[in-house]
Amino acid sequence: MPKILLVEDNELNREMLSRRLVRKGFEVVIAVDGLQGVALAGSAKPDLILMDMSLPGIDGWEATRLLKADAATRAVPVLALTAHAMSDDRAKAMAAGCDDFDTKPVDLDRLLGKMDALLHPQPPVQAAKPAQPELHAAPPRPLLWATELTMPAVPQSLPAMQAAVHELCDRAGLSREQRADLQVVLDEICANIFKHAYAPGAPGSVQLALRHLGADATVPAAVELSFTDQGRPFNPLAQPAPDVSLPLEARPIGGLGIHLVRQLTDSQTYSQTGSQTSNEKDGHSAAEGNRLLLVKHLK
Amino acid sequence: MQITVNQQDPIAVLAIAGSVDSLTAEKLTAALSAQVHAGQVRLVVDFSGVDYTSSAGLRSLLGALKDCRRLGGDLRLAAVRPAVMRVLSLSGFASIIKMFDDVTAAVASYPVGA
Repeated sequence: MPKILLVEDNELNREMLSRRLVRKGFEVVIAVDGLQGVALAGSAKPDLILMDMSLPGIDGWEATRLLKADAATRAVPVLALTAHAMSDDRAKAMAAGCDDFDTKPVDLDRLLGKMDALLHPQPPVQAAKPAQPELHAAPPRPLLWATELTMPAVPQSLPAMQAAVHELCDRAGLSREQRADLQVVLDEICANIFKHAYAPGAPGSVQLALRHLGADATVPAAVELSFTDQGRPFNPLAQPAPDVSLPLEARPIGGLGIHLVRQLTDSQTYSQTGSQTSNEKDGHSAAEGNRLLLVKHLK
Repeated sequence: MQITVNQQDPIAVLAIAGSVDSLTAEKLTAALSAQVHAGQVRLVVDFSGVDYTSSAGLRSLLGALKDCRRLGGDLRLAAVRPAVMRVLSLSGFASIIKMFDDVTAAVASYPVGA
């Protein structure tokens, strides 16, 4: 049963189309805005995405760009749905990375045909190749692994990010304890970014880059996690680590997350990125964005 | 994350399965808070099914622990896995929360008739 992610903010359209798709035998997952759509595309692993383009927050074009920029969701076909039947909307949708385009109100038979074409693409016809002598090429040299993904800065993005960290751990052969350490680090840093980098109700995105480090191309000596956002600067090191020897009633509630990050990684660098901008009206200048780099050695 | 509540009066045993992170900790907080608000302040939290917890989970436990003790009860952990124990130790929780090898021992640690 193909799984369809329907990203649609209009409740009436959403209910009607999802009900019709379920009747046709599809499993339908619902997202009500662009951010939730991007998050669910990573965690629900749909076979196809039906993307309304006029969405609150980030619109369908931006959501599609995020999906196609992420190696984990790039291959999922996106079929754009828009009320506008203008030819430049089709061009705009395709430029954003959509795989096909349809207009609303939905003509179900036409939509199903387009969905079927995306779900079951025909392999290209290839000319018969002349027989080649079999070559005994040298086995490919293993490479240290690296990946990155860009997700909305919301808790619903965590499962997709956790899956990427799992893959990093699997490929590096990390122990269960090391894996758990990195899961905590991921969670703490993301929680800080979600809370501090963006204004409530207006989350942006966070980029997670993962890579193995080491001179030996086959056995990583360390793993690196870097987090980049474009939000307002915040300093996770500003809050002192809690004194864990204090009795229960005297224990501060804050600072625990970054204390764990310090303990569970071996090095940590923190910097602000983005352009320096000055506001001539009030004389203040501000840097935009944060970058946090963490390394865990595996020896 | 799944939470199963088993009443063994006067003790409530909450079995947690999965990961307690910033996405799921709210659910744990709500489950613990519901017990306290229902007057159930002798709690055992079965962590045998928890593969990891972040500080969000620790804060959830800490809040409930404070509430239970303030009301004359306690919150005790059972069957904590090594990776989770590492986080509890690094955060200093191992010294402020009572932990037991299994649920039976944790339940038995409460005085009879208390």
